[in-house]
Amino acid sequence: MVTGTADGRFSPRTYVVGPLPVQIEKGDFNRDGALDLAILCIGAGGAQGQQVAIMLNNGAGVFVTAPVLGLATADAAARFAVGDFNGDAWPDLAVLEPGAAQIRIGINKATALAGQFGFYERAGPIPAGFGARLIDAGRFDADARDDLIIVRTLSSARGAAAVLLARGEDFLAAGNAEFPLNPTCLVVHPIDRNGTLDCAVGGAAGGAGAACVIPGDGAGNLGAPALFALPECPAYIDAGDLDGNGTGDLVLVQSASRELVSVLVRDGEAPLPVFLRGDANGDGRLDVSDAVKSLRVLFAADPTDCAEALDVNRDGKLDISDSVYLLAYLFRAGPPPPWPFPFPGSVTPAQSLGCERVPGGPGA
Amino acid sequence: MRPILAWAAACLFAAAPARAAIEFGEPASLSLSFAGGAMPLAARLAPAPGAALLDVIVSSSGYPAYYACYMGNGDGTFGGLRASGMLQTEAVDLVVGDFNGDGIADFAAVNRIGLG
Repeated sequence: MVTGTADGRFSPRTYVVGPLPVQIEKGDFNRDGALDLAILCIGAGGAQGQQVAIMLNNGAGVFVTAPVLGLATADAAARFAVGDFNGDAWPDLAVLEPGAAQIRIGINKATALAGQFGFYERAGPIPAGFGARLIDAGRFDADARDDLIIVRTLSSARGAAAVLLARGEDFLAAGNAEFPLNPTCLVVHPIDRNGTLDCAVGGAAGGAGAACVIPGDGAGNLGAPALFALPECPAYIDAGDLDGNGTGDLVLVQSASRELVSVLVRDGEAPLPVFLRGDANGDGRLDVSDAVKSLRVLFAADPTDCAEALDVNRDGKLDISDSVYLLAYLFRAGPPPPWPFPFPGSVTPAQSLGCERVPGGPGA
Repeated sequence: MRPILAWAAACLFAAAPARAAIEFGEPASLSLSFAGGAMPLAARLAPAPGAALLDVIVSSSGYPAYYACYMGNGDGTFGGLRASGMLQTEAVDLVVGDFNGDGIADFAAVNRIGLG
């Protein structure tokens, strides 16, 4: 763990975990307000071997060394994703096991006791399809549950992505998209500015590399991939708004040539306002001051620069139910706000009550 | 654009079907030089301290492995090295978040022999 400091430096702290850790993700698994870590170890032996293990954060960036078992797996090619699949606001786990072409779901056993949590496995794995190798989670439709996206290798020059929409503890097959590359890396992020979640895939193509952006439509469907070429197959991909225009841009690691390639994404439109739903005061986070600000806007004629951010339950109007929704999320384990949350993002003007926050601002 | 990038882009764009609204700008490359010839393995974008820009944190292979944080210029390119240091070994994955609640991005990396 490496903590950042205000002057841009980092202070490392080392923890020993199980054998062969290969993947790390974050989530507030015990809902104490501090981000915890989930780590996949694929080596056999040791208390943390061959499992996704949870390391709890004490809130100061110090992690408890005794891990909590998330989900065991004996598949050395396993990958996992963190998401709230059943909509109870507690992060769950999805482990993709390519060897058995299946996904196993670990549901977080939400309890009202602070710090107490655990996982039970959903009865029966979910078929992932032949060649499945990458998994991630995010809200590909409009409900308050995270969905899954699975990326498969179809051939040495072809791959496919498929969305599985969460429905309670079940998953419904939704959008599919094929693309002319053999996938190696995946990121889920809003990339165009239509207010929905998209994904980007990097991989091998014709002896070189390529990446594609696959737009989501907000209903679980995937659009036509937009492709661009790279001189080398990328090993890793991430996305974020590098130039402040409201689109998600890409960075890709090319290991052999020791290069980082960054690619700006354009979608031909003027920048849309970017905000975090529920962030009434525009400070970039959700806390009780946002509920207070919302009430002041409603009852004390306080001005707001982003009425859409105050519509916490996204019912298209501002009323006291928005503050109630936010307080329930903050203090009663209620459902999280709909898109854009937990990342800042945009909604189309036709869907918006109005917002004037510029991309790259504090709330963005 | 570097010649090989231009060639590869021309080949793929020529073969690609007509696209919808998404278009790409010219790729920019940042050369990553780690001690001992270590290769970059993972990269994550992270908010820069006190600025509305994104930096990038890159981790490397090797024993020891390294990390390097490059400053985002706000135009899709990355500039000077903000910070760098050693990790354990083979830092194959990274995650960025505010783990100590101070409003500044931290990161965690997994290494083949532990978590740094």
